[in-house]
Amino acid sequence: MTEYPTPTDEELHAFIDGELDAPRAAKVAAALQRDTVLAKKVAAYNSDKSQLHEVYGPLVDESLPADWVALIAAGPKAKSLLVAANSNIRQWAIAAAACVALAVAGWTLYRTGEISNHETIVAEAVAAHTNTLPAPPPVIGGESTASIVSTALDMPVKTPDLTKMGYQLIGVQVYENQPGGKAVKLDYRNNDKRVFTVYLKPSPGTPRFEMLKQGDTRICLWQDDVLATVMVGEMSAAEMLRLASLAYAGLT
Amino acid sequence: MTARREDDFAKALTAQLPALRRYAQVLIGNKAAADDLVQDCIERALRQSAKLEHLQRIGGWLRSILHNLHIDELRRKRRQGGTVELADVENSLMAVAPARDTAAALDLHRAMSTLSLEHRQILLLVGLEGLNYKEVAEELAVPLGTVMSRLARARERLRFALEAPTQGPQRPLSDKSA
Repeated sequence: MTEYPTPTDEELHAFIDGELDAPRAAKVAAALQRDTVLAKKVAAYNSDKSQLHEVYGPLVDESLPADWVALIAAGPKAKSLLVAANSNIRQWAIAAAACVALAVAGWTLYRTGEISNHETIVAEAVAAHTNTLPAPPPVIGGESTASIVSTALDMPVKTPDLTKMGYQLIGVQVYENQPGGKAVKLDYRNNDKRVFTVYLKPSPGTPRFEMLKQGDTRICLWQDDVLATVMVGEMSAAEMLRLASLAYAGLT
Repeated sequence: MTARREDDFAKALTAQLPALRRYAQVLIGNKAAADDLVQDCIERALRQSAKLEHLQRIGGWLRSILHNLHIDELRRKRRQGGTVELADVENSLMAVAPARDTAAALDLHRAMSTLSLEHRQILLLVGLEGLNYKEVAEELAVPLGTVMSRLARARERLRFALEAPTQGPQRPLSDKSA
């Protein structure tokens, strides 16, 4: 049998990254079994790759500057004000643009009580996710989920379709007496029986986007002028971002 | 652009920010400068949002804007007579160390700081952002073979730096490596 030649460096890295087709990957694996020096080299590269993820991965959980979310919320209205080159002027321009846009939209930036509201809704969402909130009566009847959610929140809200990410809607619950009004919980589950919760309440008015972590639980708070959405699940930050993005976009 | 498209763009942009910020922090090794860069990137993205044809490609599109802005900034500083060797990025990658840092993490920061921008970029795209080689090739507008050779070189240099005796943060000799 002809022995496969020593893999090139490029092949080794493609092997590490799962980029080789099955026959080539098998040949590289066989070469690694024969050559312990080569195997150690690959193990070291694999370790470096893992470490990169472990060390820098958590940076994704840092809270974003409020300016950025407000700036995006301001959208095109802000664009004309974002031309100043000087950093201080630019900061002022961004703040002004955001305030103008938010004021036009009827928002109040940094209003009193924002933090406590923020903490409350996150706590509620986590409790709802872990089913430690007092259970509301089950939703009964043939009403569509979107209709239930819209009626409860008194605003048009669609039920996000997360099947693209492997999550099926398994339940909806309406909490009648939460601080600040009614709240709705949508529970989704994937084939691994992992549950992803979307907790919805009327927004206190401040645009926000935050990624939080409590133990193994990831929380994404995404709030615009009308709706506050808290998404909770045990997953990586990357998966949470993808799911949160799909869920949030699917609400409208 | 329609209101619906603007809304979708805003949502997609917001969802990308945590990862974009992380990418910027590790790429340039200075937290404050990274935040300035991301802010510039948001501004440019908002101005040029109509140029993005497919929203699902927003991640790569934003990273490209960010990278171009960073290169522009480096060139501007060079023209102004600043130190050529990325003096403005002298702050160690340790500045972005997570709170739960360990000695191994510090070693990684130090090793990353010795790499060129190009090598840090490809390590991050594959190792942190999880892009496959084809996606990296498209994002960097280089052939697949270049991605493979550049990645191999970057990992080799990172390994070498990790095995080298610790001498504190270093800067690359050149920002134009293969």
